[in-house]
Amino acid sequence: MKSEALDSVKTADLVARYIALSVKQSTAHYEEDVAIAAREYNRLYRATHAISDVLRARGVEARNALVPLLQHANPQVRLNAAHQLLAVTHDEAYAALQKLGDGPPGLFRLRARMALEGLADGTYKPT
Amino acid sequence: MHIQHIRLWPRRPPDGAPPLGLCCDAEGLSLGPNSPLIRRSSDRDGRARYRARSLFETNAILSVGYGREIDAFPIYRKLERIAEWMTAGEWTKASLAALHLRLPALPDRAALTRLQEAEAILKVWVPDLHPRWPAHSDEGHGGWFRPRDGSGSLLVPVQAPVRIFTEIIRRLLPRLLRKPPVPRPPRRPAGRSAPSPPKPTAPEEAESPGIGHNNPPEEIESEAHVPNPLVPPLPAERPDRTYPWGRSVADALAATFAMGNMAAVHAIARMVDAAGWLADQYANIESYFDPPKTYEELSANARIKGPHPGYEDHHIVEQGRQNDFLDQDQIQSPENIVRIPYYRHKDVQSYYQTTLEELGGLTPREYLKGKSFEEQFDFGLKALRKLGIVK
Repeated sequence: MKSEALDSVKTADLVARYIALSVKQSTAHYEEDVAIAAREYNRLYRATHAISDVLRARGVEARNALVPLLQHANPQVRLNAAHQLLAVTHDEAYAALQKLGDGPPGLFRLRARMALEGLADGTYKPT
Repeated sequence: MHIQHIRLWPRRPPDGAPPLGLCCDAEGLSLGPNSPLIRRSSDRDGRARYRARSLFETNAILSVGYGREIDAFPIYRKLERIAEWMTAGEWTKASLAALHLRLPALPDRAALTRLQEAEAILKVWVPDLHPRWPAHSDEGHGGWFRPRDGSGSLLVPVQAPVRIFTEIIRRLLPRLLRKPPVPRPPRRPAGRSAPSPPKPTAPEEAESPGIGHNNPPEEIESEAHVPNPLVPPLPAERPDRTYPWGRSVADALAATFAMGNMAAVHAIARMVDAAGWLADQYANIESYFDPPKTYEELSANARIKGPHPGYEDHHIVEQGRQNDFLDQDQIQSPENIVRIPYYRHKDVQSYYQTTLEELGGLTPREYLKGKSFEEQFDFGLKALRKLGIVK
């Protein structure tokens, strides 16, 4: 959905869409063809980003609507939300990344640890 | 100084509460009321004989009970000795030796439930295929298998289990067991930020104090890293592609083990065996649970010729057009190749092509474009470490 169309959607509905897209993203790796799997993951990445851009434009309060997602059962939801919240509610977002980074082996742990490393060495500057 | 009391428990206490520790009595030695470490049987003359459970099963039971991977090898000879004393009727020696195993009490009653489920997984025999003589039977071979035709005229050797996937899970049990859940902290109200200092990162793998230690069981992590810990019901008919189902089963097993939910593990194993069509993914599922290995081990494995089901060879610095400018001999050199679990290989390949926030919206492949072999190798090895493949 284009951002103009997203502009008219209520914040709560945007958050619901954000969750649905992230949950779908969490199983993109169930596709055996890695090129297809990555394409799907990236498509969903762009879709979640479009939503977070709209929330960002609405201000801190709208952006903070993602905070409860840091406790979501799905790790991809937590990961995506943490990235979007690092610049707003840093401590909680950082703690969510740490928890994912301490988790069992797998893609979520890898992505969280890479992000934490980027934050530590200053190469990743969330906005 | 921390003092921990080690004691033996009555199998059936007068207050009805289940025993949470070692029970040593005429039924044998057990952890809790129903998980034997030493079993009683009868010989042909009806005399009680005691035998230690197999080392594999002892590992599984102790790991499930205490919520961490335990190698019972250091105490296994002692268990055999206790069994010998029990058989000889030397109960004082047997009881004292049991006490000196220094096995602490189980953390809670949930551990007993886990043990019960583990026992169900360990018991893979199908009664119709492997009928037994009744325990302590008059024929003098209680507990042995008898022929399926009902003739009862001769004893038969044990046959291969038919529940193949359950057998795989059984084998993985000591390795896979994670810790039982702890309650999550309450949620904060939406929209309100109450910063707290970030917790220090826990070590990736805590050092095991080993059997007989005096430390209380560790606090346990509850993270379930799949969207739904219960695998979606497998279709009755084999679908065109089994890969997504294999991944789904592997993730569900990882999550259920992480939660210590042995009932769910058992249910998944039963479901996979009942479906019967996921066999081409068994090797991939099993290798998915490999512990991290050293780079040297993985590299050496890649040099072994022949089929390697469940594994694929991975080039740490990627092959492909994006690296045409690099020395191809270096890319194809044995030092650049490691043999890793198939699903993990798919993960790392996929990772290289997915957009990452911390790389400014680039994929690792895009980020590494034009970088030297050494830089790409370091990045690749780091990714394998963080993924949990390389130690």
